[in-house]
Amino acid sequence: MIAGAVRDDAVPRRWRRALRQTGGFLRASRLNALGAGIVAAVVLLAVFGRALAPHDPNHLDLLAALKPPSSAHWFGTDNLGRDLFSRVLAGARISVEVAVIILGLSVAFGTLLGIVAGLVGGLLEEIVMRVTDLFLAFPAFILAAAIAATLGPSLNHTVLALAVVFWPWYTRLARGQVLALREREFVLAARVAGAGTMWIVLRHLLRNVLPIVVVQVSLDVGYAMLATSALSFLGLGAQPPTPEWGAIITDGRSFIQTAWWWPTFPGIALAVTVLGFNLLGDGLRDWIDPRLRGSLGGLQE
Amino acid sequence: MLSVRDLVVRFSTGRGVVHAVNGVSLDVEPGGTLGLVGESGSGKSVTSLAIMRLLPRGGRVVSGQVWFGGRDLLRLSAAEMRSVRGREIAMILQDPQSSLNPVLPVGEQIEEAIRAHERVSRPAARARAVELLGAVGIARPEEQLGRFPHQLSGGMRQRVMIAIALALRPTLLIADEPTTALDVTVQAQVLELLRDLTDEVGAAVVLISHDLGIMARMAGRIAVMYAGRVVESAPTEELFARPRHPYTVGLLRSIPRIGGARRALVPIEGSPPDLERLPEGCPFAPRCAWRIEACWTQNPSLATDDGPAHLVACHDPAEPEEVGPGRPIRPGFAPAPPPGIRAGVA
Amino acid sequence: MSATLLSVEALRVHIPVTRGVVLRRTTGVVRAVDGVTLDVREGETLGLVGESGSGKTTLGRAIVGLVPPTAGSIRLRGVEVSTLSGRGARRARSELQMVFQDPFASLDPRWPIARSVEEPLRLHRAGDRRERRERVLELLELVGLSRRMADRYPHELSGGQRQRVGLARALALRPALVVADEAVSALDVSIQAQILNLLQRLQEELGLAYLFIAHDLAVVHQISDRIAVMYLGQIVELSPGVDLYREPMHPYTVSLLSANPVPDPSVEAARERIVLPGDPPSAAAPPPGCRFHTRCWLRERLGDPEICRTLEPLLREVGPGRSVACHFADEAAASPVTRRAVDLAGGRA
Repeated sequence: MIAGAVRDDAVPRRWRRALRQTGGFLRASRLNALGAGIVAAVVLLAVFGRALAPHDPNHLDLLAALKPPSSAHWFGTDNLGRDLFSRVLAGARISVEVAVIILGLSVAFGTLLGIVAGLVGGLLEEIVMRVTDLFLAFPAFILAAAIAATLGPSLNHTVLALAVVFWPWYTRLARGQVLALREREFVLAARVAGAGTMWIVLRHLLRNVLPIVVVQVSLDVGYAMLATSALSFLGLGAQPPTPEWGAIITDGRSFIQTAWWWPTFPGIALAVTVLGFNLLGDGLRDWIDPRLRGSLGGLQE
Repeated sequence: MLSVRDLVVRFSTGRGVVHAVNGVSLDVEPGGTLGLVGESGSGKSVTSLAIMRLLPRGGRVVSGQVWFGGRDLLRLSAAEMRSVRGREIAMILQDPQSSLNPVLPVGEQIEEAIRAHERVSRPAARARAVELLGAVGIARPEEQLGRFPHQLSGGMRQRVMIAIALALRPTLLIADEPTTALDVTVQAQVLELLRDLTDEVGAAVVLISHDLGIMARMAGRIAVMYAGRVVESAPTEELFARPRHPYTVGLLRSIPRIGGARRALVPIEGSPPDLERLPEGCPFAPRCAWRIEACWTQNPSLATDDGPAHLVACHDPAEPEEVGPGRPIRPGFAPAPPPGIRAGVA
Repeated sequence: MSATLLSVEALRVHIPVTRGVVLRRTTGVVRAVDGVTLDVREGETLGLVGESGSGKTTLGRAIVGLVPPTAGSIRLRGVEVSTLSGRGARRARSELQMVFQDPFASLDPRWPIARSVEEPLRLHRAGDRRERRERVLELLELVGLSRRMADRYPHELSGGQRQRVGLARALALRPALVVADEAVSALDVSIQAQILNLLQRLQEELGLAYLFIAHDLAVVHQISDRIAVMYLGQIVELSPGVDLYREPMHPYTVSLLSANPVPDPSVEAARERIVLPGDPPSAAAPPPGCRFHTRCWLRERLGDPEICRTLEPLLREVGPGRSVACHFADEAAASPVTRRAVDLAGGRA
């Protein structure tokens, strides 16, 4: 009975803690709140954007071509008369999806490989780390462009190319953490209690590596979106008529003299989104660092 | 020579204000050794950093004075303070590993310390460095000049730190847990050295330590700190023989001793207070076996007791016969309950 | 005399030192533990004293199975545990538990403390969830923590409270021996005394044996029935605690006692101190002969006998329950230097 009572109490306690911490993060700096606000808006628009859009993003209306911003078309229209506001909203969804897939792939692969390398050590670790060195020695964007060009222009290939560029960072990060954690006394204590390698990885290491990975992800999201748009801008990524921000900017580039709104609004959307993720990532990093040091020890007098 | 008056230091963190030092007054006599004893969070290190005006980020002196050589150090310009540091007041920290620059040979670091304050040629500074390393008991000093800190043992590094600290014959040396990171046998060497050299230079010493054994050996006078205040201060012999503050009594009954029959330890119950939320009354009251009602509401100030040299901040100090048992032995005495409970609010 | 619980025989733990990244090669061996033999009896506390690099931590870790021995045996009630593997090893080792030094590092910062205490029970599939929970709460109470703290996180606790949690975790599997490695040395004195008293109370209630590893002689004296002194991977003296401090027989023990600061100014003022020259040599290249001879104060006084530099002294029995590894143990015990060093009759308070 008593055990049950205490247990029930534990859940709200954990939630309260989470809420308190979120509040603390948002209050720690105005930029944190700004970053979180932008990210929240972008994610909401990605989910509900299509429903909110006044027009079909791919609907052609040649009579309304190259119209400046107005109450009917907030961001104006392009040379085929497509509503740019609707296209930018649709683009938000593409950017978020692309970022989620790129980072999902590279985090899953990279983190796991890093943990295994750090734990197993020896020759395997040696090989894995040299391979990451090899990847990291290339300029990341050039490498991604080369891979995307080799595979052929398409949004899927761009995503794959960027995932290939991102994973080694997560491998290094995870391995470094594991090397530091595996000699920690709480890991030794688990071993003395009879824990095997899998237990230690799943219950101790993953949970302690994760917050640091999350911070890195939030810093990388903006970069992944920017890189996707840049590759699309170069013609290697999204193909017409996909309303990807980079692709819209490319199309509108030659019209900048006559229809300034065409490349400008997707450009602003891209810039603000990337800024939002960077602010959030920086804020998270600064906020989590001293806390990690505190909770992982070493902050005695 | 050094006289700290009503020093108050606070730290602002993202989440609140830490009341690290709450009105500390100290006096150090020329050539004397003052021991600052206290547990983690007692404010002993922060006090020393405030004297040196080297508080870490977020910390600031709210009020108080630090008189040294006829000046209030807290009012000096940054440039004036720089010339006081190193030349007149030197400091040795607990971890010699992080106080030395890892990428410079130790010889160069000693020369730098000299040349920062005195206009001497490089060869002359070098000769002084050799002499100093010899004086701190490092064998073949010429050969050691070119070595890097990581090539030296912990004891050797602390000797180098002592050489740097005493290079300019300061009049005051602040040593913050100088031997805590060292093994017992090496600790004995370093303490011996520290005492001989400060005697020779004629420097006064503020020695910060949690170890009462080291204090008994080194200090002429001891100030016991708790929650950012000095709770008791007396000449060393007197403090050990007739401790008055219940916290001092508790400390003395908490340390295991060698020699004689083994006796049960009498620990101090509970843990030190949260410096972000200090209680209204005496900060030691919740852990104190001697507390009376006043302790919950009034924070006692440091006042003389048992003669002018013995100061204690307590409403109800321990009697001499209570020191042995480590608890009050007056008939019918019980520690006063917290005011809330007495009023039946629980 | 109670039965032998743990017996360690001729134990060696040699740790290779490697260099190079791609072509890894062994450049040397640290003889962290180099031929240690000792027993721990049921329900007793064996203190293990030594300075950094003496191998005391490695010895403790080898006993609980964290470090594989290079040679020698570790037997628990006669059963060899160092070569067991799989389930048998796990069950045998559940009787050997450990408490660590750093209360800030020994608990997973992302787990509520109840989960840390429960971990050994889950690993050994002891009971169902509710039974385990009940046992965790009992354990917390046993070490003097309130049940309400069960769902707190380590950073919400003080150092002393965390060390109590570490102790509760070590007791979860009802061990026969707990290895406490510097378990109180990171704590403030007032908290240290609480934990020492707790350890003694638990020993009486549960019949535990401790291997209590520490560098602080006074702390070891407070809690130990017998004390072993280690220097460079070997035991140099092993005695009942009282004898060790009254009449030490190894020059190294004498110098440790002499260096240990005593919290009594009158004793400190009157004491004569043996200041050992230099630092302990490296365990990667221990000196030949007696390992202590490079720093020994007695050797000089005896006119530098050659045997100290050439022949390694064995740990030999010199009295009931007393062993010492010194060619000149009698001379060491009888030396006036020893007399003065141990004359700590003070310690008034």
